[in-house]
Amino acid sequence: MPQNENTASMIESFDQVKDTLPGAWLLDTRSNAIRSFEAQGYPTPRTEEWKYTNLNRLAREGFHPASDIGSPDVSDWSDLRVNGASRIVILNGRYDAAASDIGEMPDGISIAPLSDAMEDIAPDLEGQLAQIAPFDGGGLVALNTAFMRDGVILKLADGVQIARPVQVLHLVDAGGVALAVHPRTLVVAGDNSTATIVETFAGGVDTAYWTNAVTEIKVGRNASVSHVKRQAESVRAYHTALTQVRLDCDARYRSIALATGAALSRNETRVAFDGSGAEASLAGGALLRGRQHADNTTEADHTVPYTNSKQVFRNVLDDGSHSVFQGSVIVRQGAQKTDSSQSNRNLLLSAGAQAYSKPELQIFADDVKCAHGATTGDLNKDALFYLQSRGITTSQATLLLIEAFIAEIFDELPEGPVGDHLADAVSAWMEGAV
Amino acid sequence: MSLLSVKDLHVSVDGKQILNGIDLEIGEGETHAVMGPNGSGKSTLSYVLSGREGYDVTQGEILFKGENVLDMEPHERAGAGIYLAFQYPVEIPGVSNLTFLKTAVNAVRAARGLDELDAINFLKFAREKGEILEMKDELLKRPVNVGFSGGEKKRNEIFQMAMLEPTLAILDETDSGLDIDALRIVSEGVNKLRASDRSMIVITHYQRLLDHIVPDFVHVLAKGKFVAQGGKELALELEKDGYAKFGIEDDADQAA
Amino acid sequence: MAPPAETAPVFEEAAKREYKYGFVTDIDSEFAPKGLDEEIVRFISAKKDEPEWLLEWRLTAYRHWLTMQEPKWAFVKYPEIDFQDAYYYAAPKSDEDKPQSLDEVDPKLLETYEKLGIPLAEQAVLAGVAVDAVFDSVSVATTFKEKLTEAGVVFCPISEAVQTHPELVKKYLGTVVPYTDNFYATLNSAVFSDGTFVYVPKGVRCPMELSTYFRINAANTGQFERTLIVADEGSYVSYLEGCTAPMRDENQLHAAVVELIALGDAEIKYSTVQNWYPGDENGKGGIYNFVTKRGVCRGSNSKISWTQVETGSAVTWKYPSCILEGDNTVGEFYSVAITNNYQQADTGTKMIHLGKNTKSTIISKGISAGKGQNTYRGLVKALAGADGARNFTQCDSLLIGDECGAHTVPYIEVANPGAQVEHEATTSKISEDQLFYCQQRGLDPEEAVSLIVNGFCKEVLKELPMEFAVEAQKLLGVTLEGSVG
Repeated sequence: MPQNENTASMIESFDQVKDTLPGAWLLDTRSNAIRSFEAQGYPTPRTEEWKYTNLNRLAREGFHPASDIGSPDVSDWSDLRVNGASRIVILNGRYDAAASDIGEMPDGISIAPLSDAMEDIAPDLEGQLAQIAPFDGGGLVALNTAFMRDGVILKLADGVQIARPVQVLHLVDAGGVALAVHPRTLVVAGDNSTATIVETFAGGVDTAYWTNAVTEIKVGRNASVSHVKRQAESVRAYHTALTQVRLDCDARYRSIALATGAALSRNETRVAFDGSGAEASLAGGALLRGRQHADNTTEADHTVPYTNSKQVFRNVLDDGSHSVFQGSVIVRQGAQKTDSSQSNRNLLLSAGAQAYSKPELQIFADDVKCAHGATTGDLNKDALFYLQSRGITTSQATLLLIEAFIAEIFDELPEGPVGDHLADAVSAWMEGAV
Repeated sequence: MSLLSVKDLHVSVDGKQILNGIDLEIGEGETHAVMGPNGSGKSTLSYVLSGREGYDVTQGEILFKGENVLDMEPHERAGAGIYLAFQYPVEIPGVSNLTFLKTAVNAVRAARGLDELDAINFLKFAREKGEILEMKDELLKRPVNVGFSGGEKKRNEIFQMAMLEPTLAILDETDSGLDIDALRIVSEGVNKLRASDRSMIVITHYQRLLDHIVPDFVHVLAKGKFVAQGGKELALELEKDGYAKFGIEDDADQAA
Repeated sequence: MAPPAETAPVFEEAAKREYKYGFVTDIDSEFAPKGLDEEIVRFISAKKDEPEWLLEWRLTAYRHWLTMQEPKWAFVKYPEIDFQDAYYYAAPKSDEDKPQSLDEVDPKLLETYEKLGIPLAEQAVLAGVAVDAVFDSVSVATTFKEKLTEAGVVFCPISEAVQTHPELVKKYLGTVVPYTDNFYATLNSAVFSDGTFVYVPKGVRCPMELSTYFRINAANTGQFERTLIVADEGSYVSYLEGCTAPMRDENQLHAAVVELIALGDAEIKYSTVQNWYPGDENGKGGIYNFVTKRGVCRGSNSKISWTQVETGSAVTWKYPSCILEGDNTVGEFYSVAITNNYQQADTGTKMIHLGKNTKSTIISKGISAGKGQNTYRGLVKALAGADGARNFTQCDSLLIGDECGAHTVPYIEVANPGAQVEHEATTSKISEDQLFYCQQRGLDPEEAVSLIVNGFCKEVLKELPMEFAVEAQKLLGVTLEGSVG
């Protein structure tokens, strides 16, 4: 049900964008998607899944998929680049060729902005794009499907390993325009392939804007995909993102998503296990201050036997910020020998901060190992005192403990430029804390 | 007539053949040692005698007191008098040792046509038997095997054996993981329980247990078959010359 | 549906057990007409000879109820309930002139309680338990009045308390669970027909355990009892509640409300053994148990402790909660919930920390067998003022067989940096090792499962008063009968 006139005008503006990408099948899908959005509207806290994150303000802001906006200079954001990575820049929702640097790719790898890919290989993408994350998965994915204009298509042939990480840098700097961008990324990793993808989100502080991203990832047999996300949007921005993953037999998916930006963010990661032996490790969290609100929602859906999932989420909350962790593990009937764990810890640094945690288990099979834990509290006073007694100042000691706390989400990340990219996010936040 | 008569026993686990034709006759009051390297099938023998699921008898028979035990459930075999002291005793959280034993003692008593013990007589009985194994009251009250040290667990196994008064006791690697003092307490306990109407199968990798519990017969098991049988002196030979004498490599890695 | 071949044979057979309390008592009952409207509400109120304010309260609740919808968020499935197709009032006829003592109670009723093993009459004396028995919706007898009166404790049917202690009832009724609270509580506020009232005066330690047995006897009857317990400053009371219902093919609704109020330094211990008829092995019949239980620790240093053993009902929807208003107050929730066959339970608690240094403990043990679905749903909330609040939650689930489900849905909301909230949960099955170990010691598979399950629930069972603990342990065994081959 549309909640207000902005929903209606959003639906009206569909006509402006529906033909921006070629392909009759895509137009069909988009038309169905906008009807689906019309039917369900923006998610509201009345649905259990959105209990703790209210999009009312976002829905009222009236963000619009803008027609073309000039290309502002993106050099200010050069420190968001991951060293040595192959880089695609999506600026204001559109591919920015000048700022991108894809570089040489070995055979068996195809990487292109969505807009180009649709011109070149639209028929190939039918049956892949918008299939892993179908538009009926919720109002936001429906909107993204209807309004997507650009993004990245990455395909790896069987057995291909990409040594260089692929970074997708999403930037928004729309001057005075209340822009909504709906980037779409599709990763298809063939059997026995390996890739690392880094998604970085940032934007200018002049105006509020909305990023509504959808990332679809299919990991083939015995393939491995690492997925790092740094969300450093402007503090006036809204950020909603869905990553939907499907794992074939023995596939491995590891993700680390760290949020320091946005006024309100929702990072949803859903993993479906299609084959035995598959493993998913989901880590993430947020460093927040002011009145920021960050929501990490996860789902590990175990449908077949012998699969593992692990979730580790840490939030650090200063001032009047709010964090949400909604983790869910579903073990379906027949998914015997599932091994799953879920851990959420929240650190409250200030009297106004609030942490909401809902680590959920739904188990329909008996021969499984499933455990979860959650804690919320302030800094360990004993540890703090111990550090102080060694001559460390209170503020230094506090920072050390915060750093150690958040570092638990980086446990599985090898040292290197990708790790540095996330460490930079932590340091940047720490500087603001001093 | 033998108390236990095992004839041409073949056993497979998950389709893999582990025992390849075991013959074993145990008379009343006899103590037999079964020795063998890791993976020779020692534990399989103890499980198939006590009726654990997943151990498929593909050939041969087991008669206990002249009856075919292969048709009997594990608890029925326990009632009939077969007792297994586990190599790895199982923890049962929340259930005190005493509650567990009272339930077990009365279950086997019922199976043997005896009246239930009431709470007072049971406690008296437990204390009495507990002394043999130097079981402190505190151990009796703790949940079954939860938080027990390795030695306490093994003592608890022999204590339970004393309580359940079996006619055939199978001791599966009861000496593993025990220091010398614990080994002494456990084997003294076992020796006190030896009786003319109680037979034992002592399964072990090492000779040292047999210094304490002296067997009447020794069988050497390798690759699922007895390769040598003799008196207690056989164990000493093994100690001196090792399993190599029987053409066996004593190597855990070759474990079946 | 046959379980897969690798399943241990002990789990194979579908659950078959008989409900021990499934007899029907043949007593003339007086019914209000079927269905629900303002007239029925007025009828119930008039039957009870209630004062105007209570009738008004009921009517306000009823009108509010008309605006509400049934909650749908719980993990339970049941056909739509037709609220017009039930009787909202059923009383044994003999209620017309109420029994003055046990001797005057209809012997058939006493026989019923006898079958239930309820320590009424002499048994009560021996057990030292004061019993208020609610049969269908009406309280039939309260034993031990004199001894309690001596101590100043009020323990009587709430309908009687409305007459004898109107000021107390008026002061506290609906202050913990307001008539607007939720669909079922609101319905209860409109139509509750009886229940228990307890008042323990300042500084009094209630000399005995108080106990109520509930039983739904009449067909097509909803039971809507209302319990109100007030522990005045520095007092202590332990209250036990037991429930049974006859076997019937149709589903019956039980929508009770329990309100507890602990003033400064007072302590209330509330224990429930719930064994409503769960339906047969095909999921036919059984009680819908949609209950709102909440306590408030109003004064500082007070304590409320809920212990529940939930073995019955077709569908259970129940979250006994504590509002920790006063500083240094303590809330506890100990729960065992078993579902077998087609039973469904969505149960847990809410611990709302408002005061400083408030503490709560949640220990929940869920056991699922057959095709049973068992959900722990619990909220721990520490508000901004709850400096130094502490919560510890432990939720363990045990699965028996591969067609059942165990779910854990904790909600943790912390708005105070000085609060420490910890939640842990595990899900496991009875291991083959444990079963074999027990069997090797002579226990048959059913005894083995019962023993292991009792061990699993130990932390909760030890919170029950002795005479209840024994009953609860037996119930666990009975409930799981047939869940192993």
